[in-house]
Amino acid sequence: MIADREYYDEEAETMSYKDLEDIQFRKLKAVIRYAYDNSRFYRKRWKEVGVTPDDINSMHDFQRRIPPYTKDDVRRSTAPGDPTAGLYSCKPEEISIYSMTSGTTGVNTVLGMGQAFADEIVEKLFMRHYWMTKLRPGMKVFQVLTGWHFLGIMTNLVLTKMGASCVTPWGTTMQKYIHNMMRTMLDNKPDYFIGIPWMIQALMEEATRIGVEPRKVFSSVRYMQLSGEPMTQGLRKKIMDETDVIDVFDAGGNTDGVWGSADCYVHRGWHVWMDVDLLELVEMDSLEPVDYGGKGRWISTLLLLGGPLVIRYLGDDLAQVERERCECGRTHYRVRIFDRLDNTFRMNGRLMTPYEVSLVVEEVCGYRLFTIVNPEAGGDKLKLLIGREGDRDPCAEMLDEIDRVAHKKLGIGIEARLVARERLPFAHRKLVRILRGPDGTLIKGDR
Amino acid sequence: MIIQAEPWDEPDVRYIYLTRRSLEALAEVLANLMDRSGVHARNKVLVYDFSMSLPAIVVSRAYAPELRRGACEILDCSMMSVDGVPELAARSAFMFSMLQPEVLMIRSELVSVFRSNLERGDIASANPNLEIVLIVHPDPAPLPREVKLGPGVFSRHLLYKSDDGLFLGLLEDGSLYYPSGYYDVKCSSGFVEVRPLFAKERRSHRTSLECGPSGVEVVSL
Repeated sequence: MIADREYYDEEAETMSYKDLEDIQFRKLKAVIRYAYDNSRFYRKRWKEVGVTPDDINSMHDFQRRIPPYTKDDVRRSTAPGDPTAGLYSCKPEEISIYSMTSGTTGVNTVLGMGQAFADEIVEKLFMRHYWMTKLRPGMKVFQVLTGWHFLGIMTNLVLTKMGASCVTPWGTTMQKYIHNMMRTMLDNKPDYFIGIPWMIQALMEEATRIGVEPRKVFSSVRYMQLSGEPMTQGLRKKIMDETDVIDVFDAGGNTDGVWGSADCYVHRGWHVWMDVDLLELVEMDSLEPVDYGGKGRWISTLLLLGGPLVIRYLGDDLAQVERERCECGRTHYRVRIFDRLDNTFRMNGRLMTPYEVSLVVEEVCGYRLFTIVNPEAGGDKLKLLIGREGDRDPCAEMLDEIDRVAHKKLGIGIEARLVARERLPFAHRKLVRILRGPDGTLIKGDR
Repeated sequence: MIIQAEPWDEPDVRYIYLTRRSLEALAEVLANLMDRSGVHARNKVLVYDFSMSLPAIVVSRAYAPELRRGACEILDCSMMSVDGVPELAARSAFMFSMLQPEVLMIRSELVSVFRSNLERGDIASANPNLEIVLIVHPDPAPLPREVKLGPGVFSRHLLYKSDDGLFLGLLEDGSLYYPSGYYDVKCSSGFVEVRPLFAKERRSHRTSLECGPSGVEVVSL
């Protein structure tokens, strides 16, 4: 491998759409045949709608005839002894690695895979992904080890294959272990940082607390890869300004759907590899297909065998999937997740998420933490609580400007208030981005 | 690989420096001890410990960057892990009931909260497949007088770990078992001293385990 080249696998990453579509459909036929012949879960569902593998002769057939399924369908099918709901494409005795999803919705689901599958998906998905985000052989990488999570396991296998070394603090990705993380960063000076956006601010605050210049925590770090929270350009700029790293990459995807990747240096969405995953977009309610470039719910199909068996898994996010060659030269999907469906709302007939609101706030005040309060409560203005920064936050004088920009960009007004950051609502270590119900009236004053 | 050692004397921060050879040797040691405990091919292992805890990290190549073959790959087992914090006891108990592993590896201080999250607090009835429990005991924490696992026909073993000595051993019936060829272990001034032979740069480390007539007997496997 030549360390300064752009691609891990140039031929695969820049392949024409014609070739990618041919590969997708060939792999899709094999996956469908395997599922029908071996999986009770799929065979039962497909028999109910009267479809067999022989009926699927085009992508149109696939989208129209194979029914999607959801996380609830998986949960209903799990049983003691088989937490994967039988959703694997190898012999049961070949499963050697069980991993979990992050459990954001309350219950973790389980993926089972064989060693050969792990090696294949590392080579075809995760090595490309990490190479794209500038991880290189010989680098010293900071990460909090997470052997339970699919992405954590894949990252470990990538580091081994890449020939990078790892430095890890004691603990897990919880606020109470932040001191361990900070000491490990200061003492071991990694080149590369893998984490979650909230960790950056928390590490800098911990450094300040013990009298260390916050920038020192990241003084050795050249690149960061962050996942787990939506990343806007404003957040990226804030992190780069505060840490002096060369670049910050946004990684993400969905473990239930077994798809994911990161953005390239152009930073216009995650490149999801089309020879590994087939992604579709559908309307929120009707589930009718949406053209690439539009917004909708995503549906994923994993095109590899030997691990999780995923065929038209319907996700719970509002997403945009683009299919056009990127400035970086890659042809594969570019995906943006705006937010979970729970975090969408309608105002003036328009479907929105906190992502669009954050772009307005960023344009006026720069990146800020904020919570939207009761967006469905009526009225012509969206109510917002913005976390105050410092004693004399200039944003306090710019609330009318936020309202003006919101009218221009979103077609609605915003009534914003500044509150102390610790008064913003958090749950399960994450900021509550939309506060609904009576609690929405509990945070008062403090302007 | 550099792992921050389990903190005992804060603010003292220590690191474990592991070469690929050390990682491989630790994986072989763990496989050896699991084998002695009765773990065999096709067993499912649930690990409820921190991902960077010395025995947990060498369970599988999937858990340790730079490791080519972990204990479960050596023994041909499958594995799942849950982070070793009490906040995740409910998740751990749920996965224990769903996966129905033959082997449970659990930190000693988590046993109580783990059991209380099982239906009726009963390990054996939550998972009738369970055969072996490996209770991870970190040096220098005081040895637990009794770890209450409740009734069941599964076998119980105390898996002793010392970060500073890169040492893993089994404490059973007043004896400390360790795989010969990997460690130089002796009783010195009433305490067990260990030196990993696979890490030449390491000197002997005195553990908090008492030995001699009033303590454990050191037994090489």
